[in-house]
Amino acid sequence: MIRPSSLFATVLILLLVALFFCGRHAGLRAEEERAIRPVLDALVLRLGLTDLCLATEARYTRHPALSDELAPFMDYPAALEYFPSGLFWAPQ
Amino acid sequence: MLVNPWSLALCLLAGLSLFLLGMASKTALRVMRSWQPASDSARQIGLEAEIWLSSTLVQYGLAFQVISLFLFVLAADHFSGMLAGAMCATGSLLANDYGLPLLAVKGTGIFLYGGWIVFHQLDISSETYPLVRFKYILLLCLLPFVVADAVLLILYLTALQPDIITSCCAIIFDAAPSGTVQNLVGGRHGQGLLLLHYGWAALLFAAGLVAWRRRQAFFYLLYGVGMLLFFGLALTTLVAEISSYIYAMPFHNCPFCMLKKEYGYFGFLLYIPLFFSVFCGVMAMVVELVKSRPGLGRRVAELQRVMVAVSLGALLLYSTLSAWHYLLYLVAGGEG
Amino acid sequence: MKKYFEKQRNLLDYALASLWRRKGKNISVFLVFSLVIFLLASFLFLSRSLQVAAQTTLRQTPEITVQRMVAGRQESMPLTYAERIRGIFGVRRVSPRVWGYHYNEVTGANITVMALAGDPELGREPLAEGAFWQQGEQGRAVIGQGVVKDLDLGGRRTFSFFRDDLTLKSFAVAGIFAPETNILTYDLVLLDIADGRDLFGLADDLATDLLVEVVNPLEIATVARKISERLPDTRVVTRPQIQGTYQAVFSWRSGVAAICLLSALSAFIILAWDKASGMSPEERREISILKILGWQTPDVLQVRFWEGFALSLLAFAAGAILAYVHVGYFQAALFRPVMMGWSVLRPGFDLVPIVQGGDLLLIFCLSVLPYLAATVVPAWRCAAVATDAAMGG
Repeated sequence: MIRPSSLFATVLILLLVALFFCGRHAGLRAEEERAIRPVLDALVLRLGLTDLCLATEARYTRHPALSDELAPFMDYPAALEYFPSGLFWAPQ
Repeated sequence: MLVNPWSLALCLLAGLSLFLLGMASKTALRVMRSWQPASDSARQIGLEAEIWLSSTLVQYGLAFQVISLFLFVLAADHFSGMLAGAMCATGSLLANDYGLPLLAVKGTGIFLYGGWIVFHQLDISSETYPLVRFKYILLLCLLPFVVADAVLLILYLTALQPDIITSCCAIIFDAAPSGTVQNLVGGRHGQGLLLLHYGWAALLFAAGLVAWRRRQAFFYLLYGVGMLLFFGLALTTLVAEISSYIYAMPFHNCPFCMLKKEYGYFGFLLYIPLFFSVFCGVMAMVVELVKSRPGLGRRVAELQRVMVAVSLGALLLYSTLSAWHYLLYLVAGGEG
Repeated sequence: MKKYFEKQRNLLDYALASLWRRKGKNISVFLVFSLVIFLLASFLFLSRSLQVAAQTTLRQTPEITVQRMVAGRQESMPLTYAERIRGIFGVRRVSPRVWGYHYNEVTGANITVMALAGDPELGREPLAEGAFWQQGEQGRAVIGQGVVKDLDLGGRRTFSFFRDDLTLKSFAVAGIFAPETNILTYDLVLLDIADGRDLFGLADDLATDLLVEVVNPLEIATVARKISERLPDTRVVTRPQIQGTYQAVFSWRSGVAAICLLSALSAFIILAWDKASGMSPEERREISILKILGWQTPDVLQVRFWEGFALSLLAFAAGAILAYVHVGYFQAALFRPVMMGWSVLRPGFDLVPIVQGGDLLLIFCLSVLPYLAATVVPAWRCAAVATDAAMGG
């Protein structure tokens, strides 16, 4: 009969190997991504882009780098910040 | 910068260590108040059971601290991306006055907890628990250390503001004793320190062999003190010389980057044997303190022999591994 | 040494068998624990992957961007400012730029409109079709994939935007950005600066901001300081600041998520503590029988440690793998809605997942270690049960 510890070790090793392959897979994906990088670099450089297009709902989440820290609150006096993605916007 | 998974994890670990050691200290206080080895009372039996709890707690605390040391270094590396001017972990550690003391406290902590566990093992190897009071006094002395660790951590993290200009690792270790950090390409000025380092290691190795054969207090003392000095020397050399060979970059002298994936986590292969070697070497000396206690003489002598053997093995491993990139550089030249 | 390992292995065997005996309870603990780890790991993987994306993609971001601030808001700046910056030693080039947002009232989407002076000097690599306009050509635009979708262009290659006075300005589509560049260009409309001024109703001597190129990248900070000294009403943003901002944003992001998930975790830990402290009569019997068979308190503690360790390690590995699949294959589908909020244009770029030893260690520290710490004291309470009391009671 197989000892439980052997069984456990097998399962654990399988899981860790799977995790390792996740890492490998990520590495390969990054490798593929590298091909497009010169194009992105050129775009950023020539167009002077400053931000990633992640959340387009508000100015300050579309361009966090170029909007000042008051941007979320400047619509009218005592305005509250209400865009959901603003939750993730770190206070500076 | 507390709202950050790394900071949170570090605080969590600090909190857990405090919790574990605090619980253990409760036992310590009770043991100190009412420990009566001769007695059969329910209270004494309860205390004897509590000894197991406290030792388990300290063991957990030790494991947590070891992990938190590595986590701290990795976190510092992570923070460096947010701190202008900090290029790697060194920069983040120097971003305010608490970084390096915190690192030192964490590093020393490992030795202290490890030492406590060694005393505990000695204690329970004897039927009469001859070291109970001694080790619980030690435990109470550890507590301020854990508190200091937590306090420094909070201070460090709250004082850490993204965008403070910090210097980076290319220049900070200029003040290291060698003063020749930047001359690695020629490899001439650096040789002295390397020579001292490996010469010291060789002497130490010889001293260890003698201690292992002779089993005399004097040689253990010699070996232990030599080890302590070697620790400082080895860390300096690692930073000033060996790191450059690992990175194959003359001006990159960060002691932490080698712990990262880019360098194959090679740093772990250096630091772990080094810590082990120093710890065991120093402990072989320190346990001499309790050799005279009743019933411990033989156990301590055995333990010292094992400690020295382990220490020598780890020293050999460390020396080989640390020389690896340097030798590769000498043989293959440049690209290593 | 060998004896020690053999003993530990026997204890592990015993621990696993005892986990299996109570499989109903333990499997549910395993599932909940895996779920918590899965959520935590997903968020960490996601923010790491965004962080790396920002780091690698924004390497060439403008060295210095100068904006004019009036009453705390960004305003258009006169081109004379550009002249004053050109006079600073170490400045290679100053290019004015007009940009802003166009709100599409039909779909409710925010489109980024960017207008550059002169030829973008780019080849055709970033484009899926068409080409950039030549210098002096007017009324031509290069647009992102999201804009094509939002304007519902289909096969048409012209579109028009309302000016502020509600007159129409029409554009011909000169080119469309390739989907691989979505992370930068999804909501972008790229125009010539004259068209941009026309659309936004801006005078010819005004620009939105100025991009400054510096001769020596090491002098970015110095030049930036000089600019802000010369033009006190401006805000000067440098490349390292942008990088730092992005790192800080994502780290804050995952911090917020980690706090949310830590409360879930602590609930779970309390459950684990509770589960471990409430000892059933069977458990009591089991431990006293073990004690009679000659087991010591530390042996029982060791078994409990192995139980907790095995359970949490399996949950950790399972949770981390699932999280990877979630981020790598399903594009973090569970978190996207939160992250994008009410965005109408939802960029469809591929996330490149990143797995690092450090992140795994972080997840381990945030999940497995608290679990182990929470179970140790209750485990000891069980282990220290006096034999006679247990058997007698």
